[in-house]
Amino acid sequence: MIGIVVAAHEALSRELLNATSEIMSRRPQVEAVCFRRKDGPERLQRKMEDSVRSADSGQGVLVLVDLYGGRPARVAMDLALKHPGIEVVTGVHLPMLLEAVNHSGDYDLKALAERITRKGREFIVNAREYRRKSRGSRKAPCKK
Amino acid sequence: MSTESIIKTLEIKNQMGLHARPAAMLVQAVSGLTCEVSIEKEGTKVDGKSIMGVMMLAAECGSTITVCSEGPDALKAVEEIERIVSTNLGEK
Repeated sequence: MIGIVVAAHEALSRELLNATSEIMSRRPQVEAVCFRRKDGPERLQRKMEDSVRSADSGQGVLVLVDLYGGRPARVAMDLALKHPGIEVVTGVHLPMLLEAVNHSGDYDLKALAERITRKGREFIVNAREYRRKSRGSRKAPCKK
Repeated sequence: MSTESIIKTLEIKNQMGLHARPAAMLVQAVSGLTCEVSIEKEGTKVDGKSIMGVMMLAAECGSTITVCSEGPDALKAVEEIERIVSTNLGEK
């Protein structure tokens, strides 16, 4: 199983993990790293290293970060450049995290990173347009 | 290896439809089984072992889904999904 770490500004990673836990009715094996404004570079690096180490079961770690170019992404990439068993995917959102947790046992690290990157884009739709394209006739909704 | 294939059409009856928690419940019920599962709604077919796949169906109350499973655990998978859907996905 691929380890998963979510790293983002402030409490975003923790809240993404909370939402995922609530939806799945269980706490998935995901490490959340909160990048606080007050945290210095050494502290952030240590938080990331500790989380990656905790998440790693020997098959590699997928780090999902929020903003490409942001501190979480840069700290994660610094680590990934030293360790081949780490892949970093940016732009994390709830569907990406659900997808990563759902399929962390189905793929190797590179394939999972590729899937999450691709699917992350697919899950962003203009809801009205998507609904129009994917549906034909609709049945009337149930009455309360 | 068995090539058993089971197809079942089910109606979503809970008020909020197949939203996030029910989708996760349904997927987790079949994800460990040795079979492929697909769910189709109005021509859109998704992987029944993918939470986000099932979510993208946005199956609302009153809609009909067709579950198709193939493999040794196909019957068990369809029965599990039928049980969850028939008990209103754990909701009202």
